[in-house]
Amino acid sequence: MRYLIWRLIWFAVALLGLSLLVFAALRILPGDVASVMAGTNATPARVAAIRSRMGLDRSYPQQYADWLGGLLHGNMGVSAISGRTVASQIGSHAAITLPLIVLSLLVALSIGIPMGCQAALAGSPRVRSVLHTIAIVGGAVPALWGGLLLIMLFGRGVGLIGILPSQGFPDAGWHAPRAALISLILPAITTGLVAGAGIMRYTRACLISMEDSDTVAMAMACGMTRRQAMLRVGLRLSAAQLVSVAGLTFAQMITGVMVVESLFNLPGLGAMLINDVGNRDLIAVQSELFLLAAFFLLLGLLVDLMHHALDPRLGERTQHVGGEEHA
Amino acid sequence: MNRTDMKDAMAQDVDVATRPQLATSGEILRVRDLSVQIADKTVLDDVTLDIGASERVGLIGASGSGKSMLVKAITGLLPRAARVGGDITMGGTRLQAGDDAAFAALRGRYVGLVFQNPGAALNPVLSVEQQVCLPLRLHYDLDAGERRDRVMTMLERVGLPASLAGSYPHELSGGQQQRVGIATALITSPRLIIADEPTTALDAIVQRSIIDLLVSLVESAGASMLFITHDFAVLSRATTRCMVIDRGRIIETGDTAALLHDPRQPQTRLLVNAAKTLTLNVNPEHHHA
Repeated sequence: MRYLIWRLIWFAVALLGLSLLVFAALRILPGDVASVMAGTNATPARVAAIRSRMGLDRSYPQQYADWLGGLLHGNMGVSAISGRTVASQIGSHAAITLPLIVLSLLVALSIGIPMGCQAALAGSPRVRSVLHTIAIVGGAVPALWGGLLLIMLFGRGVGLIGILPSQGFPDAGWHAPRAALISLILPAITTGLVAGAGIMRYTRACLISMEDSDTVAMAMACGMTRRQAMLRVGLRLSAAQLVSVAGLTFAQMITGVMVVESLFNLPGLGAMLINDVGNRDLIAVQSELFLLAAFFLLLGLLVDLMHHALDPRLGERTQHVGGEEHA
Repeated sequence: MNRTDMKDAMAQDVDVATRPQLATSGEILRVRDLSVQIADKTVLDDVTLDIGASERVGLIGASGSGKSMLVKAITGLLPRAARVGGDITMGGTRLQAGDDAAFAALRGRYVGLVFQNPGAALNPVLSVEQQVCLPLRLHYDLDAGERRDRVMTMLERVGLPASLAGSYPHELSGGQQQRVGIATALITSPRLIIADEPTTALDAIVQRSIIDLLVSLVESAGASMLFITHDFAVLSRATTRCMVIDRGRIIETGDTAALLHDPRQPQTRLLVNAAKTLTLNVNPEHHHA
């Protein structure tokens, strides 16, 4: 409990530092956002009006305090380009990207862990070798190429077995859940297969490193077969490492999925961020970058907490109990 | 009798059932012409040995002589790449190399293992109670209350307070960890205990108490023991008969005391002399004399 409180305090401190960093970075960058938005032939009065409307004529501490106060109340401002609130803009794009990432991770884990186990434990050395090769080749396939291949195979209208939509997201969004889900299948498989190959390699390596450990031998000495000991003890003891890998994979997907979103024409967070940066929409970019980075921090926090839940050695009770043997 | 039937029959009266009735005519372990090769290197070469009922047998040899490999071969814990030849018969069951299920059925029930480094062997995510209980869970259909009672009794027998049942291995001292290891090995009252250098990781005072505990528990249970060590002082305390292994071969066997006083093979003499020299060098009384 003490660790949790301590970790949450550090999380809050890190968020504050992060907000300062994002705010400062966007102010230090060269170029006047108001001038760019006003256009090349704009009068100074128009530029000043835009600057005033965006609150850029106020002091930096005031701007920062306004932005931070708004963030705390869920108000991230209004996009200078689209006129929509930044929160709703992020929400509508995240409604595509986050489910896509979750689906991709599910694909990656459901392929990577069982196949990684099999690559480490298969009785035949030839099978182990083939599975290991699949993991290496799978990890080396660029997502763009893999996605194209999937579209050519399964894309509706263009594929050999055209059974799945390969372009766009339904206009009704998640109000048409079936259509929305189906539109994410090919992108999720594209991202998940590549990430799954990585998880497969990690799982295999973790299990192989456990094979000759005393802990697995002890489990076998208690009456488990080698396979039981590896799956029930080896895999369990590798769980902390696999959680770290899954967390990192999840974090990488946030940015990595942009390519796939682009390929499958999905208006996700990647497309939104590229658009807003291109349009110099300072208000939107500021909050989007902060939320993106905060999401990474949150993932780190969750991975840390899961480590603590999975490994009692990381708990608060570390002293020897019951006194020394000599006593 | 299949494994499930055996589990059911034994669960009816665990006091008796925890003493597996597989062995015939007092023969606990029989090994004939056991050879093991790993990556074209011979680690065991034509090893033959027998352990009878209630016998305490020592296996001594220098580091790298094949002691631990012999234990692994006997219990089916060798690496998958190992090539094994020869016969192993345990509790009347002839074990085929690679028949993992057959070995697993005997491990933890007929034969209990005590490891060299309990800090590395005990599962770090299992509490003491869960760890000691594991062989019972794997081999016997007992209800949770009965399992807990047995674990508590066992903890008491190995000198651990019941308050440690919920502790994790990292919260225990080295000696306490080894007591947990011994409790885990003995919880099912196996016929054979194999202790692979169980005191190497402990200091001298704890070593002695652990050996005494192990010997007294094995004796009171009427079990047999194969005790592996490279220390003659430990060997004479724990065993009555011993075998000397060198480069994967058993080179000498005999009564432990006799072998200590009159070693016949040069390698045995080397080991005995080294032990005596070490004892003389560290014993201040000898220095004064």
